[in-house]
Amino acid sequence: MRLLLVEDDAQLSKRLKASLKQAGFAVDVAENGLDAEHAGMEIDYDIVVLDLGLPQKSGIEVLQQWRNKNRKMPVIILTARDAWYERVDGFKAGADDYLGKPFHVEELLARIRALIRRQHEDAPNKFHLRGYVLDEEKQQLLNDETVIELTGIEFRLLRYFLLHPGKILSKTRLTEHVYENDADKDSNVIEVYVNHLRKKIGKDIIETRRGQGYIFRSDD
Amino acid sequence: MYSLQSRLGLWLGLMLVLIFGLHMLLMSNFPRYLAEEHILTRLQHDGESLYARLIIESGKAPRLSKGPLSPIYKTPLSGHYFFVQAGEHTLRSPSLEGETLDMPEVHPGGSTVLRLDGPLQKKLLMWVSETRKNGQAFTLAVAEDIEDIDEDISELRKAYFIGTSVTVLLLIFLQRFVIRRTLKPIEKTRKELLAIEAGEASKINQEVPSEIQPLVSQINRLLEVMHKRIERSRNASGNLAHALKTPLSILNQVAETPEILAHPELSKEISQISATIKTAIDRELKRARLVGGALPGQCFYADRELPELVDVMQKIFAEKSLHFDVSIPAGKKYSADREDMLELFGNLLDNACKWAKQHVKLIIMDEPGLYFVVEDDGEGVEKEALKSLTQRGNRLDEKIPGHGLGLSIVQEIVEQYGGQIEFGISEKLGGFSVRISLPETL
Repeated sequence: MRLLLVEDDAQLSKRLKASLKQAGFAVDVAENGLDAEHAGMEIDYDIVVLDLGLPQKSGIEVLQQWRNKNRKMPVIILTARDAWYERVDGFKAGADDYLGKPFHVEELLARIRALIRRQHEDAPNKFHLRGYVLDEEKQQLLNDETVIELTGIEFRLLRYFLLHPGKILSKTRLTEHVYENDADKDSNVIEVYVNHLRKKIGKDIIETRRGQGYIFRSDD
Repeated sequence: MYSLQSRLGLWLGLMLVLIFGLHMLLMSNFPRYLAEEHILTRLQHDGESLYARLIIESGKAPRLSKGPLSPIYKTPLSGHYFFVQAGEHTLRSPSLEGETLDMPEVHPGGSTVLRLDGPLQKKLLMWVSETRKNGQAFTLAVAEDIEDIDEDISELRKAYFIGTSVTVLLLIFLQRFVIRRTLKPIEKTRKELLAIEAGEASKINQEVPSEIQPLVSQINRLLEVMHKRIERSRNASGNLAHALKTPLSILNQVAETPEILAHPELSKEISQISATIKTAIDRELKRARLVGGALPGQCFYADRELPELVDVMQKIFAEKSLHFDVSIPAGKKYSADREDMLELFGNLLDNACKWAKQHVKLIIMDEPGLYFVVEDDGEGVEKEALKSLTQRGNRLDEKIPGHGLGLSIVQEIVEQYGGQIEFGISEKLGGFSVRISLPETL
């Protein structure tokens, strides 16, 4: 899950980025309105966390620009300006959710997860896979007896597959949604992680389409 | 309070009536005076020529010397008469047909003029002279019927009265027209002021007569100053909230770092302090942002804004998939600050959504002012709690953060707009019910 965090307070964004990464998101940070607008136009983010009081261009304007250019990624506004008229204006500009500062990270994560789930309407409340349940907070697959631990990248990759079952996903697309901007990207690394997942869950769970990418087979 | 237009109209009208009344009074006797003067001169002339022809001899009836007599004195009851009385002897014009005219007392050598009823009860103007000829004293009277002239004069006076009255009425009408035309700019300014009060305009047109121009520009200036001041204080409170809440968010994050979480007591304490500060910021800054009914030139379009607010609620509470029953009269608007009103409805709907199981109801009555009900199908509130609810900041449910604060802000807004608030249990939905009425104007 690729996430854009737009926040001008460096201290807050540093901590928030760490928390979000830990929760399994590939996090890019934009510190001003113009950078944010550009990033949102160029990259298909799975979710955006947007502050409103930004230097150079206000969050509302940035959001309006995205929506005008038909950028439909879910946006959650995270701001200290939480008067009701500001919320109404935020939603009118195209926001999908609104969270007032100060907030707790769990609150933000819960809202992000709910929003992503709403975005993929057919996604279940909890992901089930071959008798296992995906615990998004602990990043584990569980059944009554065993626990399968997942690394950060494995978890991100698996969750992306789970949200897009039965679709051909190219390596580039997977890379884009699993890694953040500043990561050392090599789409061949995806192959390695796909193999890890196959080993942990089952070989036939991810089918390779030569020259096209992978298809996730969620047979339950 | 009085109206310039009616006051001007009243005074000018009264003055017109007064002047024309005086004029009429003076003028009404003028034609009679003129006519009588004219007749009197003739009577005197006739009297003088009669005197010249009179033959008075002691012990004999007076007679006229030979010569033709004017036919008007011959024709019976012609309206022209003369009458001479010398002792017990008399001489009357043939026109009198033997009738007598009552002679007044006139001192010797004098003359007098009088009116009296003559033959056929007709009004006569009579000139009487007490004089002598050949040493004989006698009274000579010449009279003329003025009945017809009197009638003519009355007719004239009537016509004059009617003419004058019509003129006065016409002038009053014209005056009203002129006054209304002259005061038109003031009326226009008055309408613009009303539009400002209703929030349909933000300033008054400066093209007004020089007499009220300073007033208009002062009002415009004050409006601008007030708007700017409110904007500035709103921005300041918004900036303060922003400046405080971002560090608080960081503080929350710090409290959740593994190092601090290793000491749960410490983490909890930091979180609590952060929550206390947040509540204080919300309470005071939200209150400071309220404009209240003091500022004119505001308008809240309920039929446009509230459906949007309900959409927002649906998104915020998307997980609950609530059903909203909203009824707003078409075109409903209210003279109030948009931000205040959204804060009012936002807090009420937010509370209702938090408590509701499935249904939230918002009904705006089609009545002047703003009269509405917000209800939900939640647990409702105990009767005891209903009483204490009206107390400021009384927190209804500590488990649902911000509930008590929300209601206290609602109450603050209602107070600032001079309205009434009533808490209860919804009859239909069974949950909490808030009924609010805000007056039309302050």
